[in-house]
Amino acid sequence: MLYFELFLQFFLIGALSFGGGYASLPLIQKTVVEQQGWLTFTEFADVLTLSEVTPGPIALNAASFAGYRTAGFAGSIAATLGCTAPSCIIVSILAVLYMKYRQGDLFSNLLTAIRPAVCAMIFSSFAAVASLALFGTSVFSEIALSMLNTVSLLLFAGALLLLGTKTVPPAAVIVLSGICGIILF
Amino acid sequence: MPKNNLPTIFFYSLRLSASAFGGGYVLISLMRRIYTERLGWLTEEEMLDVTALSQTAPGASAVNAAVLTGYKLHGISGAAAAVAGTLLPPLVIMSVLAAFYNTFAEVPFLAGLLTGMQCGVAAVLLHTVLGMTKSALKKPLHAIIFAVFLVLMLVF
Repeated sequence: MLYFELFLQFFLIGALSFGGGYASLPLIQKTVVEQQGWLTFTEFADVLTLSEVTPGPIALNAASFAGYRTAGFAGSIAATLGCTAPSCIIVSILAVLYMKYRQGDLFSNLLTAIRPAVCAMIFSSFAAVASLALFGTSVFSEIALSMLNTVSLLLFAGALLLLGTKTVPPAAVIVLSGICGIILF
Repeated sequence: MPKNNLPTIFFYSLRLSASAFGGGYVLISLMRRIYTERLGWLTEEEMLDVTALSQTAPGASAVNAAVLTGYKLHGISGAAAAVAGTLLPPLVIMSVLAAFYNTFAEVPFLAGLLTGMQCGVAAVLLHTVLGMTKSALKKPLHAIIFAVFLVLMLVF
């Protein structure tokens, strides 16, 4: 039963992908391309590109896309629900624990200590995207000042200034940058 | 100020998911802007906790964050409304793209659009971190944790 197989495989991806987003890509690729053959590698690479220009989490995008290509819209729904179910179960339990114990010393100390690490994670995610956008590579050791794309730098600086004014929502800034990209690159 | 009830939670989650270009951290950045800065439904600390928990748990962090914020705002039914709102945009958009895949694959301006949007995403992420550090880095110890994790993340 194809729908059940889609649900099950994406349930496993959802349950086993720690670290989210890009960390789950190797697992998705292994399941969807190598084991099940639901997508070719080229199609998978295109899903990644499409994920960048469409909203939504990359794992869900891959699930909808692979589900649709394999078994139509119902397949898309089966894969999406499979991918989401583990999160719903695990995080609901976490949410209950969080609401119950967040005033407790141990839990709140733990969370206070994790917060700077969260900032570091987002910062490193920023570094990866910025390196790709400004220098055209995601490998930090390859970066040289001569590779700096000044147009990208200006676009980045402009977007940052626009965000600083707090008058334009971040999503609009991203779309606007994309439109500028079509004109400038 | 909109009331925090199920339709509003569904609607805001839908809007967040439909505008989160680039995945998890971007969605959390947008979530912080709306729930913390604009609506005041979550404090800066709660938003940081939501980020930490949704990154730690397995699965798409956007869905995890939806479960956590939905639950915090309106219990289990709030979590369900938030998840439904979060799932709908990628489900519909990617199904449509998959249906028209052969036409979409060769769009000439895709590369320019992509690079432009990456510049915007980078700016949103930096802006978010700068906003979050104010409440996350209160003691010297916090700055050390930040630095150690940053080096670990960048090197490995």
